[in-house]
Amino acid sequence: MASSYLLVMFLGAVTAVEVLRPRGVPLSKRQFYEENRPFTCLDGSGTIAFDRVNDDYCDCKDGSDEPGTAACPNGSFHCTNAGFRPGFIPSSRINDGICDCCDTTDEYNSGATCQNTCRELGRKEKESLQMLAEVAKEGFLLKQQLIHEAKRGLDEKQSKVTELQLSKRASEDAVEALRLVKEAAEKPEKEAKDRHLKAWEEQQAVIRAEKDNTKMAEAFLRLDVDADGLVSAVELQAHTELDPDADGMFTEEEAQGVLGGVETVDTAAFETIWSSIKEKYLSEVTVWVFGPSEHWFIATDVPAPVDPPTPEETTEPASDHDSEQYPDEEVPEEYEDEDPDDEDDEDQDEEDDKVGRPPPLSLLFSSFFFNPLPKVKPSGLYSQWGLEKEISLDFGPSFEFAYLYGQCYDLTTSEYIYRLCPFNRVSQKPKFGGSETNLGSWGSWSGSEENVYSQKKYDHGTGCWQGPNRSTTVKLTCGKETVVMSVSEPSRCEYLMEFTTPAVCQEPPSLDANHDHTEL
Amino acid sequence: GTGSVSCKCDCSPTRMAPVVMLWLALCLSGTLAVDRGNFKTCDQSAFCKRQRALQPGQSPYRALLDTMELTHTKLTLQLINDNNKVRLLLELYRLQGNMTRVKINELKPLKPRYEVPDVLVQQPLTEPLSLLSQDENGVVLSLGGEAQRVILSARPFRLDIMEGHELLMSLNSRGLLAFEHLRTLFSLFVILPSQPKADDKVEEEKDEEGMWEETFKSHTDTKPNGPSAVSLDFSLPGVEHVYGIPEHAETLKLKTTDGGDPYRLYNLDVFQYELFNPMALYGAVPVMLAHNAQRTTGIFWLNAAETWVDISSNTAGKTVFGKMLDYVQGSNETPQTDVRWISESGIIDVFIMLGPTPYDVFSQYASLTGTQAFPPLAGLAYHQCRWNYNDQEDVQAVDAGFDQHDIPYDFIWLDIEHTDGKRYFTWDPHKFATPKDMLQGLLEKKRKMVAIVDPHIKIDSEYKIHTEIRSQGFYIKNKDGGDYEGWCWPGNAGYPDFTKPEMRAWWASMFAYDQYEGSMENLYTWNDMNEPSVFNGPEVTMHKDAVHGPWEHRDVHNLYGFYVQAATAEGLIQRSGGVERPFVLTRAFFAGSQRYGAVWTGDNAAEWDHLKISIPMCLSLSLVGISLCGADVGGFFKTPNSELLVRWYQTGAYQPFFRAHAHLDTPRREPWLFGPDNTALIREAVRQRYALLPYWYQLFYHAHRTGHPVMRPLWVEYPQDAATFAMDDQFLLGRDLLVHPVTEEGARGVTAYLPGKGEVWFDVHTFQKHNGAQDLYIPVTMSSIPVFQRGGSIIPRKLRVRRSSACMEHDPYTLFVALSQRAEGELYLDDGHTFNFDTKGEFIHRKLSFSNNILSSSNLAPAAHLSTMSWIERILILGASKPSKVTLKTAGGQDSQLEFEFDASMSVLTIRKPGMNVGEDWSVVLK
Repeated sequence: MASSYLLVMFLGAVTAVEVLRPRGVPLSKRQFYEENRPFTCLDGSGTIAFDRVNDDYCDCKDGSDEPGTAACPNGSFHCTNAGFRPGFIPSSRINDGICDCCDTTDEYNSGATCQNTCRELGRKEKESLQMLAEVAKEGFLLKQQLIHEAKRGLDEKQSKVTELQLSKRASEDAVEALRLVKEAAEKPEKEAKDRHLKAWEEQQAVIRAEKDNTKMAEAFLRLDVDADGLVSAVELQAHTELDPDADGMFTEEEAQGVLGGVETVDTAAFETIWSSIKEKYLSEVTVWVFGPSEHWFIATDVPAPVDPPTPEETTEPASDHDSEQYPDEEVPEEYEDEDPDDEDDEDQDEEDDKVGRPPPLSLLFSSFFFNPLPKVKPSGLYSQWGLEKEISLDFGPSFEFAYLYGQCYDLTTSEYIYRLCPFNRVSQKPKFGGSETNLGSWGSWSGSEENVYSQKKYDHGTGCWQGPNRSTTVKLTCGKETVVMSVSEPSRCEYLMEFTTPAVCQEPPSLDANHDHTEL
Repeated sequence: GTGSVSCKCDCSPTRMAPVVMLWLALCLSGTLAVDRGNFKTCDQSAFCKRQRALQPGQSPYRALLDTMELTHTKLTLQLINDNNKVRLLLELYRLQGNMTRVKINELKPLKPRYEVPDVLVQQPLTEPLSLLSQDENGVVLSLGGEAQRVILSARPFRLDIMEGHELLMSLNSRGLLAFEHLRTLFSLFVILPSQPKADDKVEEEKDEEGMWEETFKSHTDTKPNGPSAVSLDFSLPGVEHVYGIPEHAETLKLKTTDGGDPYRLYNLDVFQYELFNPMALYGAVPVMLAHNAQRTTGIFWLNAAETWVDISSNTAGKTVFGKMLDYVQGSNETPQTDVRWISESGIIDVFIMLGPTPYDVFSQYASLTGTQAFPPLAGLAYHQCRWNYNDQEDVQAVDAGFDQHDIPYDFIWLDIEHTDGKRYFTWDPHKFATPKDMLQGLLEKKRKMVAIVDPHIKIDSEYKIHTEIRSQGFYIKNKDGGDYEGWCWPGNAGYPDFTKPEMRAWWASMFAYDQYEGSMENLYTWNDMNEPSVFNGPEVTMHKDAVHGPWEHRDVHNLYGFYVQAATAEGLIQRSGGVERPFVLTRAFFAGSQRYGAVWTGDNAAEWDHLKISIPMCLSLSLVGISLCGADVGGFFKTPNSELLVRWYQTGAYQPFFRAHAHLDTPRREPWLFGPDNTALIREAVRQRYALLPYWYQLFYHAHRTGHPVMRPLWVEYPQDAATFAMDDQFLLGRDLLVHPVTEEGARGVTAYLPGKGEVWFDVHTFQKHNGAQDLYIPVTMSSIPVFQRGGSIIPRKLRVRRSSACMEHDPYTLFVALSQRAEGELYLDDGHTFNFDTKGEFIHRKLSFSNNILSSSNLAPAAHLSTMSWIERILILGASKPSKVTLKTAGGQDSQLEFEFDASMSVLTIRKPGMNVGEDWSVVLK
């Protein structure tokens, strides 16, 4: 209350002060504009009679003689904007018929009718500042919690490491000790791995059989060019890859041979010959089969189905065809499973779920032992949780972003569903069917030098015709909730996503300090 | 532009309309440059091949002198083709303003042949011809004054135009006149209706390939009317330089076409066009200028069908040494250029403009086809375009970006993505949900918007524009009588028949505020794809056997874009009750298009050569009446580096239509995205443009009144200086500014040619004075834009550059007086946007002159009136000596002393704040 009273008092004073200083001059520079004394340009480039100040002719190179007119091309005009923030505008905006200063002082001779909106703006700004401050406050508390949990998770793991270390013979060489830890750790790991691999293979066999049937049916339909329900030798001849002697001449007799010595086969008969030709048969679509990768072992202590390898590891991007880069039978299904609502198979990991899902302990070891870790800071030994050899994830100075790991966040627009999986990828899927497009994979933090964690970059998405690969910049702002706020495509194939998270909330400055600033 | 055939599409995966597949098919074949195979060579165009095969010196045409009739307006006479006995009717007119018109049609065509309507502003006024002499070999006619005669020779038919003893131009001197008469498919052996004399033998005409049907890349042209080509040759003795016949990506001086293809005039949407070749582009103006040190002449071939122009020269290929040798050895064969025009249909209707000065030719051509539309002042300011500004928020952010970076702009543009599914006259309901709010936001900053309206109409029974056009029968028909359909941005589309006056009137009415929902007075229009572009048509355009009422598309093709722009401009005029001047940009054009607005050079690329060629391309257009020309700043395709972008802004700031544009697939390139240094450089270039707007506006007023070009090749002002004849890396704006933009990558300097022996030129930035008639090396940095003001001129500027031109309306002027003892200039102003200058005489037009140490302003238009708040804030006199006293005398009679400063190092006198209103009479006396 006290402060707004002062404001009113000051408003009264401004009118009085206006007489004392030329138009457009801020109070801070009033002493340079003394009435009835020659005026020296603020850059010292010349001295003129005081009546030449604001006489609508530019005498000073720096424009300082015309703070209140548009005469100088490089001048600036000071708006007091009582009730709001004071500010400067280029003097070319004086009397141009457009209201720029909320106190209307820039349009004193243009005929423009401007409303004084400073109070309104001031009120709104105060409100929004207050709101921001509240959000920041709560967000900051949440952030502390996130940090705490991330640290605790880390500590647990670190103590496990220590335990393991202690259970082995002490050694003066830490690396040697860890190597031994590895050997010990590898054994149960290998058992688990074998066990799991077997289960996986059984599962795969079922899948393969199903796929084989599908493939066979497809092959039949493709081979049966005239769609008479029979595959004939002639129809088969078109597929020269099936030529038994591969001499470049696939004769009708040879084709009949393949068909078991008959002219035509129906679907039942085809089933019997399928096994003999399926290895050679080439349809237009090469079916990609997903198999275990070198990263397989990383998930030994997580029940099946396992974490999917990231697409980059498993397929070479052969073209910009979405379906080839992300074979239907693999990524999208697994991907859906990552939806937080769908994670019924990971309930036991509740503790971890709250703070994201840190990689299993074995990963820490394996990444340490099997991957050359470049530039590992001593303290960061265990903060560098790598899924890939080259990438070590940076969860922020206090691990506050760790909770985002393994999570995905959706935004539905009129046309698309956008999905941000923070340390993984960004994608876009049409709302009403259609294939998914990769808008970029996790690249790096890309904020300004002062605040590198304010922005992150996802690149190497699906390629654009004649253009770059799709990429996405995610801007992070402080919010109580973790939400994708908006997505836009300012430039072709370059997306911009706004994302709120408590993890970037800063301790809010006290509102009172702000108040003083608003007034002058 | 919006586009080129192949490269505009919405590539979002969900919108894979069939058109995208087609687009892919088209695009994938030519991602780097034009796919020449998509466009015909002369050999692949049956009529061109047929006509070009004719050998000179074998003309079968003979004038039947006994059929000659001479009235006070024209001479008529029959020609006969001695091979087939078909008779032609020749009409010869003497037109006011030193022009001769020659028309040749069939005497009795089977059906009428197309004569181009609506291009001439009026029936040209004639002057009497008189018969000087006549014998059995020919007649001699007087062309009125200036001792001009036409000699008409009978066998073979030939016309020679003489002035005194000088031969100016000959027609059919090489005997390449050809006129394919209309015939029926089975009439070849029928005895012709003429009555052959006993000794005449009617040769049987052979049915050549391609006369009745022609196929190009799976497209068949059915040619129900058979062959109908016309052709004529012109000889230009003493001429080594010919110009014009845009649009080609070519040097200013046209090249000879021997051994290559002729220059082609056929409006086409060429994807990623190549430079320096005679291929057709988006527009066609069949006007050629010929120039030598003594005379400038012009040929206007009024035909809207596909046209090819061959140029040959007897000096082409000769070196300077070879020419000298000829001279020394006395084998002084006069240099000569021969030109041959070939068109697929229509008649021969040619206007011979006899100059003798370049300005006479401009006036002569303007008297036929009209002058440049006087654009609203804002149209001469800076335009910010991109395919596409994504939504209203994007528009608002870009608008704010200009303010934040203190860069002025007047227009922001919306390309095709702003529409609801490429349905023109509509808005995307999500991205542009409240267009009036957006326009109001711009209006409050005194800024404007252009939205694209293309002439292909989505076939969609829910789309009002389509259903109305269909129900009124306004679509172009296919050869079988149904509505013609082709693929373009919206997918399947119809093409309104703009050749129909009632269709144009209806189209114009669609721009009314209550018809075009979401439009406001600050929304203007861009007509793209109006060649017309048909993605799945032959050469990406319409089938020639499509039908426009009684005519084939073949007859009217090059006129289509002209009509689209004309109807659109009319719509913008009508919506304001005839008060406001329109602004319409077109990609396709024809002779006369200057009357309707602006033209740009289509889909160029972010390459240095494309920056360079923007100069000759716009100069060529300027020479044939189209002054409001520009190239996409930055280049449409590909991505400019910051150096190229800055240089392009610097060049574009001194070209008439100044618009930045970019392809959908390129990264954003608003001026502030290249770091503060480049932002500052671009800001400075744009500010120079805004400061100079009074001069630009005055030049366009002048172009509108007289038809004189705004952007001029040097030879136009220095017609006797042969050094300027082929110059196209620099140009003049009006008479008084010479611009030599930096168009070389990494340039450390440029060599500008300052013309005019005895003249002086002042660097507009440093005021350094240079002598004329010299090559001047100018060291350059990234901020350099070499521009010179001619000594003897006065140029008004407004140095208080604000965020849009409208914001500067009431601002004071600074006069730049560049002395060469004397100086003269003008100052023109009006309200900047209405026709009141014309309908109500509301303007100010002053003559400024400096002589005998007196600078004065006198009224060039005493009948006009306008009150203005603008005043003169400063006068700079370049090349002055120091006065002791400067006195202002105004009409009121009161004298007052003015303060001044004198810079002795550059001899610049600056007069401080004289303060008189620009509408007043005044004089400033230096003592």
